[in-house]
Amino acid sequence: MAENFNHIDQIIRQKFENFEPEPPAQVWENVRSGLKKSPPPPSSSGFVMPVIVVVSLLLFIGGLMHHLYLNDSGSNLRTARASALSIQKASVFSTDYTTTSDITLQQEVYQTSSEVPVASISSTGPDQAIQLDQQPVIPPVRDAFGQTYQGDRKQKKAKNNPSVPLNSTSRTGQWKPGLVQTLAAGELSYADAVKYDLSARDVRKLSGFQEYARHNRADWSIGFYFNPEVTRCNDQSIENTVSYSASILPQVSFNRFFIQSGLSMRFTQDKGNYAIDYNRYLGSYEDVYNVTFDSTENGVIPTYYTHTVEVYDTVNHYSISETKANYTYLEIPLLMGYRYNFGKFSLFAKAGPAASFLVIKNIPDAGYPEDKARIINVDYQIPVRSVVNWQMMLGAGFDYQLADKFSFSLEPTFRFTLKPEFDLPDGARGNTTSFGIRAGLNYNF
Amino acid sequence: MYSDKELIERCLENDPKAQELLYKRFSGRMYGVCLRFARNTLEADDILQEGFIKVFSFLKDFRHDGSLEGWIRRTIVNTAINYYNSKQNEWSETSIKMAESYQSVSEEILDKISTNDLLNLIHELPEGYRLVFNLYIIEGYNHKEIAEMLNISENTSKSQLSRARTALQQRLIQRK
Repeated sequence: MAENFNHIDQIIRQKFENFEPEPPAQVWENVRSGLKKSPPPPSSSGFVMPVIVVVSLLLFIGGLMHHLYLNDSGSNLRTARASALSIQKASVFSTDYTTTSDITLQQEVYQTSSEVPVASISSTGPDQAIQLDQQPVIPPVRDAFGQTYQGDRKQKKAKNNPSVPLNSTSRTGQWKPGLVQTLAAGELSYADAVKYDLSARDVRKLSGFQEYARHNRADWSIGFYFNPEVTRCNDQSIENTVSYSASILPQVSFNRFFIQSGLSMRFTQDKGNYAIDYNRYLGSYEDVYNVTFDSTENGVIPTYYTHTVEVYDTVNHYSISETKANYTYLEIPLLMGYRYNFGKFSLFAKAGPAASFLVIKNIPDAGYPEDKARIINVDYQIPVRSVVNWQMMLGAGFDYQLADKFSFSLEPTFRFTLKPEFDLPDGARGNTTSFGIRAGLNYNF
Repeated sequence: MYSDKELIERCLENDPKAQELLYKRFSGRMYGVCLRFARNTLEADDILQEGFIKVFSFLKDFRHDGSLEGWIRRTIVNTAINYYNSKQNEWSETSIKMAESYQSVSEEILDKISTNDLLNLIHELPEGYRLVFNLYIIEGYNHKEIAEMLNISENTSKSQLSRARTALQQRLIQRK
């Protein structure tokens, strides 16, 4: 019965062997228009990403500027408005007694084109502070320590008259760059600069600047991290994957803000199948393709020239095998963050974009489903990954100071793709989200 | 006349003429495949269209391990399978004995019948029967392979083939 089936099957198969009907012309038109549509339109992330990067950078730089400059003057203004400022130890006003030389000195410090603070000497004792009473004057100007005062323009008349008491005299003038550095009346320490909340610009002109600058310079460090992650794709046909990243990320800090960038290598793996159409190997025979006859004393001797012909089953067979494809990505993140220190610990949060480039793709070759089989076609059923994708990375964690220059870092990470990681059929978007734990060591220069 | 390899290279450069050439080279044979799997010409047109869009979209993944025609054929067959899988066929098992009378269909009837008539008879088969019939008898896959492709059991594949044979035989006899 089976032979009969096979024979009838063979007849049916032969009927369709050369069956090549002409498809309607409209099909090609539809295919062509489908092909024009198939390249996905420029992803919105192509436009959004540069905007995100630029806005992030602007916000960061703006915040930094605010922190270094505007914030100082703002806090000074608040201080000045609140009460008289008492400075007991500073380069300019560090003498024990207010003398004519002090006045002269102050006159030297200021030029005459703008207003200067009105100083009210409330005490002349050696251990008592010099009190600077604020007078309402518009516009406000800044003194040597960045304090903002408001003076009375009417008091300008007394500006060059040493005999006029300071409490009744206003001085006009401009800061003379470099003059204060020449004063030998003591040094301003970093602690003083912090205590009096001096602006960086003004402190830079004082003899304590080097120490201050040492505490306020950009700090560089480099981190070596390892980051296992679990990635989930929004497309149900793609299984969750586990990836591992090794990163070298230099970091520059400006007080509490920092920027981190560098290189990461991410290794990941996709599960898939390969479907093989093949013909079974049935055996071989020697095919005679030429015969020669040589006449010898013993008669005619034929010589047969042969080659081996391998015989395969004409019926297609189909086999599905599991496989794993390996991928290596080169990633360049640009992260911006904020850090808060307490003791040996510091907490931080950071965010930023990252570009991922698929640099190595390793899909194992399909194995032979049967010995000596003839493979007709191999169909890899493995998710197709895009060569470049953009991601947004977020992280928050802590550093622990292990030694003077070393700290340990641990942070949960989250990332989501802005440009899909997978190219799915029919233009679907294979966006992914990943959760991971990043751990590593930082070296502080 | 371009070789398959040259044609692929030009298609990968998005050369419209090469794409049309490739389509014309294989569309006839593939339309034949589609017509066998489809219920009518409209469905065959859809499958051919969708299949060729996939062919052009994934041509970069063709690894030259086998013939281009084999790869395209496989893509078209997969498209046809997906087309009907999406309709959530209900597969049912039946006794394999039902097909025993298939042998009674003489070779004469089959020899006399034209390909188009045979195609019409295949079109009349229910979807599940038609899929298994095409995959087993014409494409040459065995039941284990069909079971993997259609995500059904081997017994289901066998029973579907058995029913397909019976149904085809009845139609052939009626036509006689």
